Amino acid sequence: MIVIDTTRCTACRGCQTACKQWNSLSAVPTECKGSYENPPDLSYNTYTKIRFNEVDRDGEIRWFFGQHRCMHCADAGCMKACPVPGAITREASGSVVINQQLCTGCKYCVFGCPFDVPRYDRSNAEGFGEDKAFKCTLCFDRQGMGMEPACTKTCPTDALYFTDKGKLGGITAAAKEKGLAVYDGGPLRTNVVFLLEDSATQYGLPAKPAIPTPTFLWRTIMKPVGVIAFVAGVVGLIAHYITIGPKEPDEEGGAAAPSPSPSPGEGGEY
Amino acid sequence: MSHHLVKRTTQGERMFHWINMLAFIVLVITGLGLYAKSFFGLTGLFGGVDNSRVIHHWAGIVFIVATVIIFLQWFKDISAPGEDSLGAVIKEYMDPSAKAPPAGKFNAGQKLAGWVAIILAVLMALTGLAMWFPFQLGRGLQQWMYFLHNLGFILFMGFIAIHAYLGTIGVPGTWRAMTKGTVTREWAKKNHPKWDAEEA
Ligand code: HEM
Ligand code: SF4
Ligand code: SF4
Repeated sequence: MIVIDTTRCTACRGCQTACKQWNSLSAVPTECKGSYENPPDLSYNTYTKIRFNEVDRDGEIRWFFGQHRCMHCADAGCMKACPVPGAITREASGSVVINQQLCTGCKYCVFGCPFDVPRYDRSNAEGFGEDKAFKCTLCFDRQGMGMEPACTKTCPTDALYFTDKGKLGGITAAAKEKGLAVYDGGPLRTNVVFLLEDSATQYGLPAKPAIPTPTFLWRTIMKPVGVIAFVAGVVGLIAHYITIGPKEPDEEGGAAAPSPSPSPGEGGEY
Repeated sequence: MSHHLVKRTTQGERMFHWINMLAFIVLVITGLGLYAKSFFGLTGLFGGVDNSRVIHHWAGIVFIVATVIIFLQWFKDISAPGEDSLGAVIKEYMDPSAKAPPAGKFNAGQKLAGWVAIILAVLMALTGLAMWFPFQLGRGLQQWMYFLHNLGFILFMGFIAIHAYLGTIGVPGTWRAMTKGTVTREWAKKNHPKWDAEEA
């Protein structure tokens, strides 16, 4: 997993560059928005980005550097939303990875993510074809070869570092000692953990991270409820047919009873 | 057979109802493929998930156009006041030997069904459109569109199960209104006594 000690980040953006280099992602034209923050947003070819937040604290300028990137949630909204088996997988390393070969470009994951991470591109020119979603892979490919992710490898101040879960307890205890808040996505149990000096929102992180309510209702509640309700409904109709029976026209003049098996095709000969 | 038949539907009504039904079936199958990962195999029927989705989108257009046309064809009939009540209609379905309520061309249940159908269809079309072009509404609202399309789908499946049942085996003699456009006098007398009297 990755720990991000925001107190050590100098916003050099080495991680942004290393990520592009390892993943062969092209550059994005920068935009001047009155801040050093660039490129303008995550995109199909930008998996991580340092956020610059300038805050006026009693006449003094504070600069909070956060990182916008996939948090690799243990309870991942993107995976809940995705309809295609295998399009988003969880690797042994804990990485949540989109497989662009299988992705159909429905963009469900884009809106299921609590951290606004996956980016969708209709016609990227990098060999994946049209209509695919992209995001950070936690360098599961590097991890598979025994290497740490490109961003943690490159970080010169060790603001970003790679560690295993077992060491997290010690790290967070030490951080709390120093008065830092530990941000691990709460119920989402992210595999990227921030150590924060200030409130989460100053770093562009949601204060109460959770699967979006509509996504939860849609994928966790409605899906089984819908199937059960439909089966119950059909059983009810069959029961109606067997016990109460169809509404036949009244027989007139004691004519022969209508065919006992009313076929949907013809409506019977009465 | 000496029974005379009563004309129940026009050719135009039948045509759009068939278009509507076929589009609906395609929508349900292609939609179900995305409803749950365990139904994903259904996308194979339409040549894989990419094709299945494109077919869903365009079947959606056909479906909403046909539904609106049917709604306009029957708007007067489903808005007309009736002498029967929903309660009486349901009672008759629960006890087919009960005395038939004095239903006109459409009984109270069918009128309600007409309104439910158009409302659900518009809901599906609007939320479906939002899912087709998802970067217009903002994240919060867009997330609700998936939920609402799903809720509408579940309600529609309940509606269509009842609708299909009553249109075929639940009320024998009804289906021929979809194929031949006629019903028997006995059928009309049993199910729509007031309409039968007016037509006679
Ligand atoms: C009327 C116009 C409609 C439009 C434009 C529309 C469009 C869409 C779109 C864009 C999606 C997202 C997946 C994708 O990109 O392919 C979708 C999903 C879906 N649609 Fe539709 N749709 C329509 C009507 C219907 C109807 C009538 C039904 C069934 C009664 C239906 C059932 C579904 C289902 C089950 C899903 C899967 C998502 C989920 O789990 O809820 N749709 N539709
Ligand atoms: S941060 Fe978003 S994209 Fe990354 S695993 Fe969590 S839900 Fe998925
Ligand atoms: S865009 Fe791709 S990865 Fe995202 S939910 Fe759809 S199929 Fe899954």
